[in-house]
Amino acid sequence: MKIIIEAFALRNAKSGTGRYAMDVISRISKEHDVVVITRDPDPKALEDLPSNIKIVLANNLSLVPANMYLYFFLGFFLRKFKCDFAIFLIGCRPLFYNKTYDLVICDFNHKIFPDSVKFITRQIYRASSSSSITGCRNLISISKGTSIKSKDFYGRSADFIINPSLLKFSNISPKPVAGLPDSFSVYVGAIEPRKNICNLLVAHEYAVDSGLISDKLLLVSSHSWLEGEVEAVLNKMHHSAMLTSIDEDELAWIYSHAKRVYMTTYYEGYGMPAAEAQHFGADVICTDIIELREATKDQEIYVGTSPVDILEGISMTLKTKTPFVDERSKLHLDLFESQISHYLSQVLDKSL
Amino acid sequence: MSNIILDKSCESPRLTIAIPTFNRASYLKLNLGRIFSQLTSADAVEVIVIDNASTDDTFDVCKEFLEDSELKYIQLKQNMGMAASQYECFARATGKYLWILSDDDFIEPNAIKLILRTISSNLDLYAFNYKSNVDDASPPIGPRDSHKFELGYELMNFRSVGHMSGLVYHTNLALIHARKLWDIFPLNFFNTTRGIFGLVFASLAHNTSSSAHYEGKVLFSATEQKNLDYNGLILLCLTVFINFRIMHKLEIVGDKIYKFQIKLISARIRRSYIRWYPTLNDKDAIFVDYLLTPFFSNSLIDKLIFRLIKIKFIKNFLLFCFKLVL
Repeated sequence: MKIIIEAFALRNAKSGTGRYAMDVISRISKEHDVVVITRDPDPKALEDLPSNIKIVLANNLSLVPANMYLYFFLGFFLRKFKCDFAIFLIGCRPLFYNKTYDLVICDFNHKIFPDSVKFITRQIYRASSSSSITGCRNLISISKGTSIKSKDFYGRSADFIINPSLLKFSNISPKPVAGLPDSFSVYVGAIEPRKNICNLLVAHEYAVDSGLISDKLLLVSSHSWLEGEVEAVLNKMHHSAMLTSIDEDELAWIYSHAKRVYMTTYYEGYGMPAAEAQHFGADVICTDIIELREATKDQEIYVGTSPVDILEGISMTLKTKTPFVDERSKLHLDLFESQISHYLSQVLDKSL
Repeated sequence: MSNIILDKSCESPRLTIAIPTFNRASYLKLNLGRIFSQLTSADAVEVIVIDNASTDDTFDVCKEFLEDSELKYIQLKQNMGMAASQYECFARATGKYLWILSDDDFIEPNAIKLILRTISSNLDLYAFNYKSNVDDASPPIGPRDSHKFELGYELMNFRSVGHMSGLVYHTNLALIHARKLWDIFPLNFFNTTRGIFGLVFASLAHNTSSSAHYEGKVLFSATEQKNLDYNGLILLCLTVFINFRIMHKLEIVGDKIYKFQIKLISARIRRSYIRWYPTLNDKDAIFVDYLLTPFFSNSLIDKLIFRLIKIKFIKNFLLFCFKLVL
């Protein structure tokens, strides 16, 4: 069977959606002929895809922004392909595409819009999502919560629920990453406005400067998304750095060694990095939204999106977890030992 | 790190006077002289000096008093900042009440008698009035009348409350709160909050179930921090705001203390912005913009001020004006 998979999410192979796309494509390609349609993909993502996959770059109309292209022009572009059916990963099918398709909802945010999304854009999202979901052959969701939302909104529940976090790392052995700081926290994902990166950077930097924590914030992402305000703020911060070209096994190691993992985004379709981090035992500080509470089984620290809220979340990790207590015990022990030796040397001096 | 050279501790002292010190031998000598001149053997007062690894004559000064007075001298082998030396005060005190006296604050005649008389009421927390040491005629910072409060946090209604040397704690209770804070926060954190005493006070004031007392009589004279307007520093507002948000979140302080602090900051924020924002470096300006401004820009005037002051021309003009005036 020949299948088209739309994978514009490969623009950032380190984002949750991007990595989920990689996962879906790799698994489907084991049994079927797969054509991946993408635009401006991350070269690393292309390298990691199985070799039997045909990759088609939808790079025509290059001046049209990717989101607009996806909705208005991709449908036309796909008409020339002969295939059994298509899979769209973004939660909505392009307009003007009328063939059989399955729909994977992995970034389903259409009920929760940030202020930055304009009114007309919201209506386009809503209209295309609604028609896509009602018209697809199979609706595949990556979490129960997403399907509940879709049922509420469009009157259809998911035909399949595939939770990626349970599958992705099952066969991965964590591989140490050389050159990282001794102590670090992590953000994993795309760098875009909805990810609330500036507030995170400021909160983490302040926490380090004020002595609350002493670890470096690593942004596991791609430079290609780094622009504007985030770049300006990042350049002023001394305790944050980008980390690119990380493989999945290295990411597993990073999760398991991170002091804390941040997922303080404005909204999420699923919030896969949070679930992954929890899987590896990291302390996760999440935005208090239903998607992240569900992805992390309501067991982590949930905060608001302002930098002060994130700081509070950081302080909660100090209270709830024990490493600092251990560190302090050690400090006390060290001090005690030095006390004793100093005392003895003074006594000896006096005696002599 | 610490070395008890001589320990002539009193039996069950009623009060411990603990002085954390670093390289202020001359001040310390003066202060110890005043303290021991006021003490009698019947007072049951313990005096401790916590030497934060001084490199001056501090040890020699203390040695003079070790010979013929009740003094515990504890020397920390390395300087670990204010927080560690203050914590040692809480941990080492054996008196029922603890007075941590800053090494550059000078006690008034009869100060110890004033404390002993006051603490006989057996409350959890006491705050005393003080004055500036600019001259003898300096007026007290807080009101002269004494007050008793049912809840400890109400002490903060007075301007003078919050100075380290003006507080007297029930030692055991304070130690419980100090340990709780010590268990949560890394040592470095307290060094940005001028030590641990303020947080211990806030925590104890929040949790104390018995009454607290404000004594209007002057206990000591404080050394002026010249050229430093603590109330006006925008970064201090930021630090206080963030710390109390965190303390509130961790339930170390309650709603009322938190709101009280917010009210204090709100009253100062406009003046602080105009005076100090133009002087901030890029990074501190980002901190203020992201962490402080959103919470204190409710009124239209504030919004206007916060927006205008970011305009380069206005910022430079203000800087120029301040240079002329100062």
